[in-house]
Amino acid sequence: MLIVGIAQRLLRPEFLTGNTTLVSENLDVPGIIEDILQVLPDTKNIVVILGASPFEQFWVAETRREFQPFANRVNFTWFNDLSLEEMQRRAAALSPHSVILFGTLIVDAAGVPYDHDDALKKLHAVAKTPIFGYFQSQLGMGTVGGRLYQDQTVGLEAARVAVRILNGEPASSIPPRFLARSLPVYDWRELRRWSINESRLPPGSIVQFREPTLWQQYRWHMIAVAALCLAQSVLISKLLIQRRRRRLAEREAESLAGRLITAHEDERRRLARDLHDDLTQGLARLAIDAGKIERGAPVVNHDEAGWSMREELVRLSEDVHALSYRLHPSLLDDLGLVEALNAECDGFSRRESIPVEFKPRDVPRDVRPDAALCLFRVAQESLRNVARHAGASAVEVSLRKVDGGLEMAVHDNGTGFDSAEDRGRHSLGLASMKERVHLLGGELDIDSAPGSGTTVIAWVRLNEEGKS
Amino acid sequence: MKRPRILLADDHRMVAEGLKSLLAAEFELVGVVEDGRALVESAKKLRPDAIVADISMPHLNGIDALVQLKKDNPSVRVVFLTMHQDAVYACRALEAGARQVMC
Repeated sequence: MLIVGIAQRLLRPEFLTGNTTLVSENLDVPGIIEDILQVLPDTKNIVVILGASPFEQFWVAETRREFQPFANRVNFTWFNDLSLEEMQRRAAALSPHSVILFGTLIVDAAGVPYDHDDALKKLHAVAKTPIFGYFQSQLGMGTVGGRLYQDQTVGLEAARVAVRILNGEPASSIPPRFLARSLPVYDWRELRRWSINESRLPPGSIVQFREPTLWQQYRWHMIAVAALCLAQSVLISKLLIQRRRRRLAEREAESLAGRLITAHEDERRRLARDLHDDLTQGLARLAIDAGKIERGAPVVNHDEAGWSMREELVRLSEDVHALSYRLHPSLLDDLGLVEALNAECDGFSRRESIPVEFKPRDVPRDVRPDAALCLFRVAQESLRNVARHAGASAVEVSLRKVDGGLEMAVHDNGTGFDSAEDRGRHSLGLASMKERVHLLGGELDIDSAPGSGTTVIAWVRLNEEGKS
Repeated sequence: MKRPRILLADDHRMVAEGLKSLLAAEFELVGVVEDGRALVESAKKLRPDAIVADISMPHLNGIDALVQLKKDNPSVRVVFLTMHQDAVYACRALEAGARQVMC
């Protein structure tokens, strides 16, 4: 014979005589109450649900006795003389700090039999207080948990022993066994429902039915969405930065274009004034002199008059030549960059009384015309700036072949300026120098510091590649 | 006595006409050209006794034309007439073998 699930208190020695064995576990009744008071220390009332069957009446008496030591800490209410409906009604209206301890409900006081799981579910549906239970099999049906009786494990172990007996092993050869106590087990959903912090659970407690968090459930979705958002944000930021830069560049370009137009108009005005003031008036005077000779007007000395007219013509011719040079330096086309820069340096030295040293090195004979004109204009503008701002006593202009291009540096020993601070304040001259150089795919750099003079360095390619 | 044969090279027609009228009395004008390349070709063909040329001319300037002519005929005689006041023009022209530079 195999005895299963019997409580030790019901076991009599004669039960185990003969061909008999046993599989069970001792129900730790006080442990259940201790656990309830451990996880819900504010509990004042424990409602005990047990049915009215003789078996249940036995347990009512047993548990009343076992709960006695807790009587000064908590009140026990017994529902064993109620019908299930009445139990439900009262369970729904329990005072705060009450809990329900569900034992079994095989038959209620009205004599109605129940499947105990069914009764538990009905009570759980209406109860506004936590429900604790005795049995492992009740966990998941609405009980909070605790040091539970391992009814399922006992059943499984008993089945194994039964198979051994059925296979011919004598029951008496299998030692009777009470299973070791299991660790406390809790239902995560009930803990959440009643706001029981997991830190209050007895040591070694196992929490079951834990629902995966949103993060665990949708981790990859969230990561993907976050990555997408991040990528989008980066893209949007980049676009915004680009738009800002473009707007700034457009504004700068508009302002530069406006200033260039003004500068062109100013230069035309100066040329027109030079043409009108010098050339036209000189020509008018010559026309008057020629008219006098033509009319046979009394002229003191014909030789002198002819000489004077020729002198005036030579002067006018030189003026026209100078104007033409201002528009475009013919020297550059005729004799090349080195000679043109040399002449420009000489001219600057004479006009401004500042010595300029020109140092050409390894300059090819044929520099492409646009590169030559570009460097020449940069030199002109740099020298103009030296005269206007630098207060320099010496200037050096160097020209040499570097990295497949020509590098020209105009260095003065003047007052200099803070190039980092003044970077934003581009003068028109500087802006047009930069524009010229960039158009040829070159680079222009200005190196200056207060008290250390200024160096303008321009580099342009010698071949056509890289021209933008 | 045979008059010296002169070749004129100037892209300014009015200046060329003026020079022609000045030189016609004493010299035989064998031709007038308007750019450097034409000057080199005509000089090789016409073999003038002297060449009167401008320095700034299209295609090839007078100085470069003279350098080419000297390779063909080292004794070629060229006088430059130019508006350019820069001494560097005169220096370059004389270095290239010009007889005279008149500014």
